Amino acid sequence: MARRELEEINAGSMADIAFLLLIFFIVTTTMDLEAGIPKTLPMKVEIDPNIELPDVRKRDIFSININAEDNLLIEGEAAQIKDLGPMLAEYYTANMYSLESKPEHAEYILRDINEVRAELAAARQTLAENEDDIISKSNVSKLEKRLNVCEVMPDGKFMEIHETAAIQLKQKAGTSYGRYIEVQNEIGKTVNEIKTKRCKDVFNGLSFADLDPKNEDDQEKLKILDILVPSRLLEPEITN
Amino acid sequence: MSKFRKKGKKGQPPVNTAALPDIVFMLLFFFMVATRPKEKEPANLEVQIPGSSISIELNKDDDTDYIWAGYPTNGGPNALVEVFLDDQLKIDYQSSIGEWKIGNKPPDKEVYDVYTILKIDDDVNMKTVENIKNALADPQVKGYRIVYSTGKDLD
Repeated sequence: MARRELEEINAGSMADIAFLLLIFFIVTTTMDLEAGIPKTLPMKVEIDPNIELPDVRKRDIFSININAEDNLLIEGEAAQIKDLGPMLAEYYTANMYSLESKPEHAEYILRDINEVRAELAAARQTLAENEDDIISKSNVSKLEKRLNVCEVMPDGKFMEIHETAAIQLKQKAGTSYGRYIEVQNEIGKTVNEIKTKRCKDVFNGLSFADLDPKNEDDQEKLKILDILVPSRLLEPEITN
Repeated sequence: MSKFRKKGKKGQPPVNTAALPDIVFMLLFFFMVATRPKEKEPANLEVQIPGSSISIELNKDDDTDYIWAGYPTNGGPNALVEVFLDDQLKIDYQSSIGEWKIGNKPPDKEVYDVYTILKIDDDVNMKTVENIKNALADPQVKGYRIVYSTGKDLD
């Protein structure tokens, strides 16, 4: 008897199976990545009541109040959301290039590389005496960062915003989340604008938008910009 | 001569579909690689995410947990805010967030390595948001990293 030839496997339904899988994947997945405003929540630290905290002057604080009806009070004046950006930019930049030209806005201090080195040496000395002291630890890390910036500057000098300068965002229990995000958005936008300006000054016309947080060199630059234009946001506990 | 001879050829030859599975498989692999699974969405919750122009995209393989807050779809005007951890409704969310965060973390990571994505309706009051944030920032939980989820379309 003649051997029968093996029949070919019918692959016609392969396409159907693949289609089925394809449709399953299209339905259960999403293309767009999760986007949002990332924040790091403040760590709760127990502070020894005997420690003297530095005084906070009125000029250091840029105050934003949102009431339960979502109305804004910025630096003590009733304002609209569109006023927030320009007012915040004024607060940041009034004294940025010339010391004390506008004494009601955030103070800037001229840092010099030699002074910072001397201060850092002294702070390390203090830390060596008491290694667990949280205050001297933060002091050393603050000065290390400051020295980093000085080293980047061609003349070893830069203008640093006062270390207690901060934005205070007060909310009421009834404030809506939508309004809160709008305000966060304005703050972020303004800070980015100032960073863009500073980035051009400091890194020879380099654009802030081109900095890539995944690139190591750029990470260093972003860290320096964070010190030049810090966005410290204080959110006091919500009251009714 | 027959008058009934068929005109022309015997119909069109069939289109060769042998390459079809290859094309479909290619598409399939593309979708498998380029997408990520949808998060579990809570049922019957109305969440209108606010817009923002400074939002940053997360990486595809960042670890994430989701907290949802909004009003129930058919709740009427007096409905209270509901908070969902992933897709579970929690009335006592302030006390359950800690346990949930710690239970959800991958074994080789810390709780603060995992982003908590807050998907919150823009009408929710800030008191609720503060309660969630306080529960996450608890020193025993350490869920410090959060993302306020926002749309990207606003300019």
